[in-house]
Amino acid sequence: MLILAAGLVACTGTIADPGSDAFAPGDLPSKPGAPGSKPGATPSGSCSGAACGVEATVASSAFPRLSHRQWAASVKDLLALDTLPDVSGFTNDAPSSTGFDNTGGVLDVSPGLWADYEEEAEALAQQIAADPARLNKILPAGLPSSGDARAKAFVSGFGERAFRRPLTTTEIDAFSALFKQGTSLVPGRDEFSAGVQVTVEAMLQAPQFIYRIEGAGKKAANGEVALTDYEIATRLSFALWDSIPDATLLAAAKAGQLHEASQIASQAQRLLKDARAAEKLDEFHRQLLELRSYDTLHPKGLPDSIGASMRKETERFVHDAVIDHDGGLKQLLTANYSFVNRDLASVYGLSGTFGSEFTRADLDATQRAGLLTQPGFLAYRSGDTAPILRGVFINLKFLCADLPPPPVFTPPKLVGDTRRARVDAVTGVGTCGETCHARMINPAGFPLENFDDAGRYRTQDNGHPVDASASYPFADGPQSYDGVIEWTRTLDQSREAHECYVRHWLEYSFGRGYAAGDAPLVRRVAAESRTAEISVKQLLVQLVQSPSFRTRISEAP
Amino acid sequence: MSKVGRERTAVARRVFLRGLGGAVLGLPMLDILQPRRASAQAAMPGFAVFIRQGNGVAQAGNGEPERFWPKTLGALTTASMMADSDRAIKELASYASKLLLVRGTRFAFPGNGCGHSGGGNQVLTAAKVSDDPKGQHSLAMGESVDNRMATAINPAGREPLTLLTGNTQGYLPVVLSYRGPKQLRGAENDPFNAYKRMTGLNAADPMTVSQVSGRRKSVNDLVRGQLKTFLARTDLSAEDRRRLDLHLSSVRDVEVKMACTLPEMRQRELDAVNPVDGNNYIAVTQMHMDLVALAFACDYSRVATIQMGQGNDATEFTIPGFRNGAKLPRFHQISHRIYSDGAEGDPIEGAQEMHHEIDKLHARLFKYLLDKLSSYSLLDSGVAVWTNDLGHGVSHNYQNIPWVMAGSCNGFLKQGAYVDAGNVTHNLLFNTLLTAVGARKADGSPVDDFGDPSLKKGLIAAMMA
Repeated sequence: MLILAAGLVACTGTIADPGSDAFAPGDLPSKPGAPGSKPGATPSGSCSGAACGVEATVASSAFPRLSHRQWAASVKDLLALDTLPDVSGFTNDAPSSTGFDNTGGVLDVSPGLWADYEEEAEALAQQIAADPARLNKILPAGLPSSGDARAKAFVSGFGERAFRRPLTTTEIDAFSALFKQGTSLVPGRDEFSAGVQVTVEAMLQAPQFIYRIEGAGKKAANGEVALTDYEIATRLSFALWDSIPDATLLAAAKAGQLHEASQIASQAQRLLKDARAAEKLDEFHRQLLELRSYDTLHPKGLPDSIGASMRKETERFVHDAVIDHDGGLKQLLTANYSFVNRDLASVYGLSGTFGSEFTRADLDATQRAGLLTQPGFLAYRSGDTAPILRGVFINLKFLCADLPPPPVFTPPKLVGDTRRARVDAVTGVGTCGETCHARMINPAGFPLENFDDAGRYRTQDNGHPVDASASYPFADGPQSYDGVIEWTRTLDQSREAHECYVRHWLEYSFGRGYAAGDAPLVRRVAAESRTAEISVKQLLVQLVQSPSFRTRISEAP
Repeated sequence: MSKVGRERTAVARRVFLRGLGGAVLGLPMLDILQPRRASAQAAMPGFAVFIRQGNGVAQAGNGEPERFWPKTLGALTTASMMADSDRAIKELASYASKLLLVRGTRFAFPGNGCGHSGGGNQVLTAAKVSDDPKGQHSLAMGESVDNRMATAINPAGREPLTLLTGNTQGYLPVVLSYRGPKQLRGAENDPFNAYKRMTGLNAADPMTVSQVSGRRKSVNDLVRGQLKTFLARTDLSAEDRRRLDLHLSSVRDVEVKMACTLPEMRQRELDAVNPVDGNNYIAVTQMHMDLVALAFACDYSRVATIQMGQGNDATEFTIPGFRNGAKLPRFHQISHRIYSDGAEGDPIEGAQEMHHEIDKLHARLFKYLLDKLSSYSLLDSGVAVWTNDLGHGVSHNYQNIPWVMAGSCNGFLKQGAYVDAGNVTHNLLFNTLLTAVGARKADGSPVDDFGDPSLKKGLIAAMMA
């Protein structure tokens, strides 16, 4: 006997924004749960702003904190380090409902993290000050040769890079005063390097460095505040690099050439050519697809290192598709090549000679298509409930469907000759699991039934032919497909998949949760992704030109 | 506990800290360096550690027999517990005289779409579950008891030690400790990171401390000034203000850490272990327990939590001596008795027995913690608590939450007893524990109002000596 509790009502596929005629069914479900991002106020009973489909600004924190990754990358650039400082020991942040690590408006500076900042800042400042060659690298150009002027110029020049804007007079005075205390605070060092040490130490711990502070611009009648060119520079470099602006970007801000959409677009295109952008794009997919979890995968009969290989395969594939070949979601979902070593080649059933190195390999276009058919994705979601695990992940992360958590139940007796039959027997049409499982979860997972627990292709399950056909209730109408090739093509043609991908990117590049007010922007960029097949890089250039990126609204006081 | 026990505790602590005290004697930094406990000889402050298991326990319910609690209420002796041979709690028989088992408490509020999340939200907070976010993202609407205790009894500004066995990424990774409404505290899952943080700048080297503290004071004065400037902004949102306030209060000039260290061999083990590998569940949990005991002994913190496993703990346990050490199915699936994390799946043969064995494993882990605390002669001055964020395994309900405690808080709590609180909400249990460790309301009276304000106030008399 199955007992299903309340909550089934939520499993209706996609949810329209209530009270808004402009939203067709199938528009992105709003995600009120995302902390740090509250939807902009929409007057009830009338349509305005986002509710009318107009792209608008949504409220966000004026003090988003750097993620640990951003802190490390910023410090590396600021101090001209050869490698990223190790922040793996930094106090863990609580997980955010976006699933990304950089939702800045919910990140705190706890006593534990503050102590981590302090110790790391002290150690780095000490190393720099003790090594004339390294010290030299961080000195601003045209530094006066001695005295107060030299100290002040260091504070202004270095401070402008650390705080991503010119310092105020008050700030210059405060940090210069600290600089002067250097010799007494750091005994045994010359006056200048002692001053540098305490100044660097303090600036790395200053709120102006730790937070991406906004709100210096003028407030308009509608409550929107235009960001300053410097604030946009910071938004842009963190959106695309997870790090501080470089000299060119700061110069553009200083010249007042970083507030029009076209100006931002041209800088964005420049930034996207940098290795820091590539790392950001890689890391996005690492977090979205939970690739770090692949490391410990160990399907039966395969070597211990297979988990690490599975992760590396997907990382190489994503990098190749998105960075090297300027691809978009279409390539990620449908490409029929990957990167394999000997162990993965055996999983793929590839003939030929393979070693421990990864090489590009064309895959059978009737069996493999993109991310969903890679062994790591499949092995991470294995076992008798694999169709459910795979289906849930595709619904949540590829379609942004609003699935409720599973209800309370009493376990049923479950029988069937194939995995599909067993899952169908208790979750299919006519069972209590029908609403969520039969309509949405199973149809997303069953097309992957041609793959076993290690990700090997199979045509038979327990001696019976695999049935990989299904139908999914898209907003534009149900779509039927047979097998994973048709399923990934169907996904690529759906509005949902592109809107979902763009929505993840908005969260990860803007560093805040998605809000209902973001829907028009997401819808427009997703349409370009779907119909014009724009690349991920182009998608980002679109996002950073939006009004929401260029202006801000404060959250409730 | 007896006066004799208390004296022994105090002496042991002073011996432990003797080297440190001698080294700093006569220096101007004395007041900063003096560990609070070393000077607190008369009334030893309490401590509390909460270890949390997930997925409920194999207790009576849903047609399943009782396999957790003792057979009868009342006094517990080693003999009586040994006689309850089919109960998980038997594993703690050697601590019978120090135990306090409390049945008959429940969580007051429903979850919001996800039983595990709602349980994790409430287990240490007795607060409501958020409307927004919901489902597995739901959060507690109030601070947790470890947070309140830390405010009351920890060295100034020190947060409760917040540890996790398992991965910090996943479906429901971190659930336990809250600074306030919706303010979930991140947890440390790497014991070596936690250890390094506890032992950073220690008082054993007064010259370094003095030099560093002077520089930090100057730097921090500047940082505090900057923060105050931003806090004066009139357009700050309530949430940004809260976060900047927390930041400001996090800035401290000298945080002298533990002068104590673990043996080198143990440090190397902490360094080597992979904390996200499920096969290391027992080893990592024991390392966390070593750290908690050390933190208490050296007064780094007086409050700690260890979340064992994720919200819906999916660890695949290998239990020595059970089924020839075979790897069991995922714990969450065992707790549902089916091969599924959802509502339906194939029955797991022998799942009740497996769940019982997993309960016993956690009882033995709790015993390991008690052994560690006892090795520092600490057990009588505080309380160690083993609990769960669900009551019963299969039904995943919030009734009859298991509370297994050891230690009397210097004689405040009843010992050697199994009591029934009478189906009350569990905020009353926290009121009792808060009062036991020395927390008081503003007027100096016992804490009787922890948790959601709508809940009944008071303490549980049956828990008190």
